[in-house]
Amino acid sequence: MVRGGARGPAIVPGAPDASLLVQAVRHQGLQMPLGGRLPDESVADLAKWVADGAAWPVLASAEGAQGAQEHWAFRPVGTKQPRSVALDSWISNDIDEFVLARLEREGLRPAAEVDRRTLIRRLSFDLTGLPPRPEDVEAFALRASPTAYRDLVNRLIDARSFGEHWARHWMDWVRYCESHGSQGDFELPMAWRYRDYLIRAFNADVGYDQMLREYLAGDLLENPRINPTEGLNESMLGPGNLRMVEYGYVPVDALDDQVKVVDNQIDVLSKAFQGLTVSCARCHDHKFDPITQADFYALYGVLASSRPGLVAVDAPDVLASGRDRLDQLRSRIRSGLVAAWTSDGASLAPLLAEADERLARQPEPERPAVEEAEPRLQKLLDLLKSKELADDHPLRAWLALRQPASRDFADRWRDLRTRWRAKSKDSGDFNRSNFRRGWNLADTSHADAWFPVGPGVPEDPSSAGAYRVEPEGERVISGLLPAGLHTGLDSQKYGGILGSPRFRISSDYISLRVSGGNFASAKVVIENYPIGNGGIHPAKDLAGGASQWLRFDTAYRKGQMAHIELQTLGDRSRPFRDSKQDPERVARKDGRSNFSVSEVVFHDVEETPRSEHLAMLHLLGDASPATLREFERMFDSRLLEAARAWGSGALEAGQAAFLDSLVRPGLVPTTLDELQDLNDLVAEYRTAEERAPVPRRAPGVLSGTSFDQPLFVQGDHHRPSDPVERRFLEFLGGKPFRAAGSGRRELADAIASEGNPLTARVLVNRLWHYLFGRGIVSTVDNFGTTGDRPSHPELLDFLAARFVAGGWSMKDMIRYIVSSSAYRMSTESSADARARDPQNRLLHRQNVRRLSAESIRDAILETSGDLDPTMFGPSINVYYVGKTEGGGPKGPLDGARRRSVYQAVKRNAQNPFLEVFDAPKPSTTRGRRDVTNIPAQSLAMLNDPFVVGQAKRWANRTLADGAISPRDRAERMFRRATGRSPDAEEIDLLMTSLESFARELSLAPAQWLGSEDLWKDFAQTLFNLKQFVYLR
Amino acid sequence: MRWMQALRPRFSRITRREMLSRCSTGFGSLALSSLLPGAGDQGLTSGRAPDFPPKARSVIFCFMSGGVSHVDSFDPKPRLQREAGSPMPVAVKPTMFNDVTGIMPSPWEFGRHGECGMEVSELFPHIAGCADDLCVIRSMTSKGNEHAQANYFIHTGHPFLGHPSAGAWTTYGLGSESDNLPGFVVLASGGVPLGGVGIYGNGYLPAVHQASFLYPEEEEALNNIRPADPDPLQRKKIDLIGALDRRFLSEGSADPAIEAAIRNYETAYLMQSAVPDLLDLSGETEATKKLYGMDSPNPETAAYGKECLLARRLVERGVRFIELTCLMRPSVPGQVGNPWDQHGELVEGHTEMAMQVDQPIAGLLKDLKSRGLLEETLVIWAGEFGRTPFGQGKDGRDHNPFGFSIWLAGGGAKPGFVYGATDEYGYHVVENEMSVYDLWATVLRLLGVDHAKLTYRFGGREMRLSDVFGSVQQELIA
Repeated sequence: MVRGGARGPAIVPGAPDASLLVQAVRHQGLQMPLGGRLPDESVADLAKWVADGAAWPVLASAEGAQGAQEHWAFRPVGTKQPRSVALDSWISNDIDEFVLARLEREGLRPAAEVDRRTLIRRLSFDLTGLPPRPEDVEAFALRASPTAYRDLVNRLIDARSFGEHWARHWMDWVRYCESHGSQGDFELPMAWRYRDYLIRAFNADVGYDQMLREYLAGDLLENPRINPTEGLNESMLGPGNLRMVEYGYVPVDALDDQVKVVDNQIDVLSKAFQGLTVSCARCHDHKFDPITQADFYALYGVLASSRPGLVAVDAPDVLASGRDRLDQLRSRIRSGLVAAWTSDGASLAPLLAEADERLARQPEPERPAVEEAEPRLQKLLDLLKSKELADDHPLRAWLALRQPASRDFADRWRDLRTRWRAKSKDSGDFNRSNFRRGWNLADTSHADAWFPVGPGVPEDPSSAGAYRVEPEGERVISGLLPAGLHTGLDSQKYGGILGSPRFRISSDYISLRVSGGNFASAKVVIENYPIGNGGIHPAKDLAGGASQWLRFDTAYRKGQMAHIELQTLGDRSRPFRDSKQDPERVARKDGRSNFSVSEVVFHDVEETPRSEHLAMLHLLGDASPATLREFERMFDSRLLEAARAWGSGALEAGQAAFLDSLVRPGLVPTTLDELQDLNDLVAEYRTAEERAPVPRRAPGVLSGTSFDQPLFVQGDHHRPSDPVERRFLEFLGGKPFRAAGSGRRELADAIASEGNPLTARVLVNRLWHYLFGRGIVSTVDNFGTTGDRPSHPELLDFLAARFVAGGWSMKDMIRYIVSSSAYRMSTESSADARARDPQNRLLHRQNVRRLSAESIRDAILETSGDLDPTMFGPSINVYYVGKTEGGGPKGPLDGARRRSVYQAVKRNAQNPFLEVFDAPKPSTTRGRRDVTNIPAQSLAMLNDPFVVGQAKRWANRTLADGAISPRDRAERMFRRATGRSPDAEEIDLLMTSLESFARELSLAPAQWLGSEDLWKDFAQTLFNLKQFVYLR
Repeated sequence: MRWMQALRPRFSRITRREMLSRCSTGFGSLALSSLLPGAGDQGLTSGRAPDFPPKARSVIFCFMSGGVSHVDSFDPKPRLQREAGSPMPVAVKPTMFNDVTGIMPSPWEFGRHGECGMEVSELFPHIAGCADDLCVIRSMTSKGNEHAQANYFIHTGHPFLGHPSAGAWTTYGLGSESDNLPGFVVLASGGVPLGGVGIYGNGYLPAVHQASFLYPEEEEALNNIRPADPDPLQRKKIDLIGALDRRFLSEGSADPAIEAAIRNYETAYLMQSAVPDLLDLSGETEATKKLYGMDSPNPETAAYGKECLLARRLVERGVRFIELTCLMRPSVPGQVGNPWDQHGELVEGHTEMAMQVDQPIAGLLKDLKSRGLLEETLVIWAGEFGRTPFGQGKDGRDHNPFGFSIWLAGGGAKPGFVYGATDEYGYHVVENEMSVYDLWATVLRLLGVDHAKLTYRFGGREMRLSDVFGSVQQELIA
């Protein structure tokens, strides 16, 4: 109020007449409140309060915030040991001491231990998300060994399905999603690798502190976690979650979009891992927790200083393997090319003389003569006639001078050279006065300011004459590159992303001198919006061939923050779609793509920088030929010089341009046919290059310019105030990050810290929530003052401390919790206990829980025998019904029989079966899912073709089960579905209904065992039982 | 047969009347079920008594996806004619396509209609005939400048996924009066607007409030509504399931959630016949169908007419919130879900689209009125934004969220009334700005709900349809 809103400060302490608030209630100009004027005495009171200095409790003292500091969750984790209690035979571990102490205080007793069949079913679903196999149920039910339960826990916790199940929990915390939503629902490429990363991490029991560091800063760790089996840098995959945000469709107001994105990142980060609602502080200080608006913008700076992108996730040795060899071969090929180009055979003078003669014999000579011409002569003749021949190609000088003329050759030569020198100077003058240099990427000091990411993007510029050996085809080399930054010189499979520093757009145009191949792209990224594709988010595909100026129209974006970015095909953050209409525009799928960039200029004239005719000037040089033949021989001497300089790595810019003007059209030997001596070497190179791996990409964040974000007054991004230094939350000890970089690494350390009172508490509570159906703090995502208070605070602290002391092992903590007697309690309890603890807050029994949407679907597949246990890999397209917008191609009804965790998650299309059972929408952290009861669930179980189809599959399989009677089969199927045997009354019910189903199908008793339809109906009935979808 | 006898009195002869008496608030077992332990302490509905005497009981939202040009429909601007082709005299804000040309006059004539003399263009001759029932708002604004975000914004008050749609908030606030139909129905003959089905989502509200999509033209009009089995067989399955579940329930795990889940089967069973009954139009007269344009030679008009007629039938059945979707233009198949979006060929596009919805919507208003339903049914007509008074490219208009027109009819909205104004070009609002928050605050008020009190706790905040904004525009209320 004092700081002010859009109309200025609402209150000027001590000056009621100048205070908007007082003016408004007095109805002077503004009229507040809505719906009628306040009584006069209230108006007077307000005016007096302002006149007295507008004392506000929080302004007057820091008591308010201090009060919140005393909130239980913000205090250090307590170390109270469990107290001993009377009923010690019940106690399996310290958890039980805490639970029992609480129960005894209320005069309650814990429920009895649950029966073994129910227990193994509960434990299987809790640890793996799948039902136990019938034979495992029997074995466990009958095994009397004292270690039977412990063995079972260990077996399930080590099962690979453990990771599949628990990864999905984490995915709820970080709103896992594979598309960006909004119009178009653009794909987040390779998002599934993040899901696989989580599954591997849970199965490998990676420490939670490590996972937190990877979550925020896995790309920045000194010692990344390498997976030798997969050849992956696992840590690189961690930040993928930061990319699972929603974007607007080519937003006009890109900053507004960035605010929404970062707000969501902060929301997820703070809820998921700190149990805090920091995003509530975007517009004002948090109303209930000691989180300031400045805290929000301190985190904003950290997250917005990182750019969205794709990263290569292969282990460093995988990426480095074979590259030395490629360089050696490339270098030897260069030597061979130099030898070839400096040999007599490469001489241009005879070719030019011959061409001169042939051109003089116009009109066209008879065809055979041309066909006999050696290939290079043919190329020369074609080029001379072609429109492709640049206006300033050195051959233009030859063409001009070979024209018959009355004047002396030497005079004409001098005139020509004077003209080209003047043209070059004019171009230089024009360029100097109309273009502001952004960066000269041939200059190391400029290139150092840029941000290379990916195995193919060099940190240092190449001097003029960099080259790539063609990986296929007749050509060995197709041109030389100007000085600058070039990707994948050794192999175009090594790509990446190159970003400029962040800058404010101040010119009508930005032009880049670039070239590229196979749909590399260049873009001006506005406020980190990654999926622009042209128009008001400038982006263009790069053309092959020689370097050219590529102009972006940026007038629309003046005043906005941006950076330039170049991406190879596999690194495009908006996936490239092959256009079916235009075969010329179809990307090759071999993983090869490249870009080169030399210069960036800013300008307001429409024209791009003019050529300064380097190749031509280099040819003309200081020589003074007296005849055309002499001039033709100059081509050879210049070629000789340039080729030698290239061979020794000392090529000058003019030489490079001249040499490129000969190499690109193939006027010097460049083909396998012309370079017989090099064929073996090229073949060797190509074999090695073919063997080079295409790096695997995954969503990640890239380092960029680090900046402090100005606080937005009232959250209005049009009203920036002072920048807030990047840091962690102040009330948790956040101090400004001083090291270079965004601060992600420091932020990760602040969260993954033993001293952080929230991190361990929030996590162990989440684990508890999944194992008991309710957290010790029921509001699992909110540990702030508006959250629920813990039912067992000392137990929570005990678990948190134990978790940290035990090395942040989630598996150990899960094992510890399920080993308690509390976990193994029955869900049944006495009427008295229910009356006294109706919500079961005291944990006098286990809770009845409905399976998650994923587990219901997985259990149907597992029970029918149809589940495909294949792990990992690209997601199965979403199966959806009706129409949607986005969502991608529609997937198969049965989800390819894979587990639900492998089904794609798209913002604009959800699988209706999962959705109806409360699978969360990927918008923000959802540590506690809804468990609703709606008729659509019954309709799904009764009528959904997936359920009916699975019943049929199960029935089909069961026909071969060797059952001796319908009753035998009915009992087996019941056991398979529920994990228990039907009792007498249930058998009676099952048999009677089988009879009535058979009657509907007009089946005689002898036909029962062989009728798929009958058992399909029976199977579907079993899927519909509450025992099937609920855990006891 | 023992078990069947035991069950019969409880299930097999259950009647619709019995079912009604058991399901006091009907679909979704709103009153029957509670969330499981640990799933929160908020109920499935707000459980609040009306804050005000309600004027409207149901809402029909005719959403004009893509953005109707207000200066060509409900907001006449003679100045555009006079200054045709001139550059805009005021600063032009950034547009989606950055292809701004000069001032573009409306190709359509405006005329005065009804006793109120409201000006409506010749694009909507039938709706113009209902001018005395319309409450036109010429001062609507949006925060979104692209379709998906603006679609989310006008539906949920937020520009992205994850927040409840107005229909979801309405059923959360008021429950449903239908015992066997969903409370929030989207008639989905048209395409889903840009942004996807999330614009009709329940966000963080319980899933029972999400829209159900009714596809009147499809073989299966509602997902999974077609029984997989012939009735006697399915009935037997449900009876067996119920019998086994009741034993499960009685074994000491008596859990209200399971009990509710059991009863859901009966509701589901009834829905299977309620939906075909809804879609069976054989009881409607030819005159009625004609009124809705269902006899039109234009298939889109006929299909939209069917949506409108079904909307009335849903209202009659107590469904709380019905949203209609526009059909795509057959001439521009790429514009699925976004058919009003004329960045080019404004005349062709708006003519086709107006022809699709004009007669059906007017028919709906007349039919509701003649049946006495208009008084308690609020009809909302709106797109996600308007279009620019200046041209885009050759013959289109770009998006304009800074001022556009929508209208309300019935349900307590002031009839024959025009509210608010844009500037002389129709570019920016200059009088009585109506935000999306204000719109829903006003709609909720007509439904008897105080928008500031209809809250749901999520993420540590009391969330609202009107976010932290919105005020009821009293002048719009009759």
